[in-house]
Amino acid sequence: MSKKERPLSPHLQIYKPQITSVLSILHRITGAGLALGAVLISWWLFAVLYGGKSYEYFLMFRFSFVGGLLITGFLWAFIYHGLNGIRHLVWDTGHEVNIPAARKSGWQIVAASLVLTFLIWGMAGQDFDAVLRPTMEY
Amino acid sequence: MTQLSNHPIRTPLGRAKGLGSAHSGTHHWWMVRMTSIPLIPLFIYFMFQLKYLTNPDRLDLVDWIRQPDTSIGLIVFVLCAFFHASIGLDEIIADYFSKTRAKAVMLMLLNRVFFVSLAVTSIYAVVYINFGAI
Repeated sequence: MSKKERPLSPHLQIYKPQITSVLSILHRITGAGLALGAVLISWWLFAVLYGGKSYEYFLMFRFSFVGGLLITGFLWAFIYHGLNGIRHLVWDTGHEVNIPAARKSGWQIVAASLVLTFLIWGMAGQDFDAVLRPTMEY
Repeated sequence: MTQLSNHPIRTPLGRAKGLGSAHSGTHHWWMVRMTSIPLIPLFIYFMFQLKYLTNPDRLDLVDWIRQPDTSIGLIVFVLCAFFHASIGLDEIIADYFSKTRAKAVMLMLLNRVFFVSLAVTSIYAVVYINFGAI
């Protein structure tokens, strides 16, 4: 007797892309990507703990082109996943559950995630002490 | 929670075996939400600490991590984020990689072992940075 295979969810290619469905799958993709980011956080903490060569290797990665790209990507993914997560939490309360509202909030979080990523990315490069205390001698 | 997942509509046998399409009821859904909510204020908190978080000087970083609010923030973040990631991946496994029950259970087990280990080691690092010789 052959064992019957359990059914799987239908896959993406049979649907026409729409803002709602694209953001939905993006939530899953960013979620899976961010799960990998957990490894980066662990690596960072252990590099700080061990110091020496371990920390040098971490800094080499962090200030490399690929490292910068990945970290910026993780930052955007976190913000997007977080904002879309808030959208889901609102839906869980029973509010905004209709197509026009979902489309509108969808575009809003796309815009907000890009703006916030840009702002935070820009802030990370700033020396705030120097900006706030321009006359102070170090 | 217990009340929801032990809803009287389920037979005692079904409940004991964990059978039926609901399995554990709304437990998974609820845990995803509960682990997500603390991440919102924690993320905002750490963004306000961006200057310290992104400081490449190791000893400055150690000083920052050793502050109680940073340490506690990091530990709560790791607990919530890693558990959230793990149970989130369960959903992906269930949807795309579960042709047989054995395979799905195996993958979910590996996933859990991986993220629990990662969380334990990360928290160990935060604790050691606090109390160990740096």
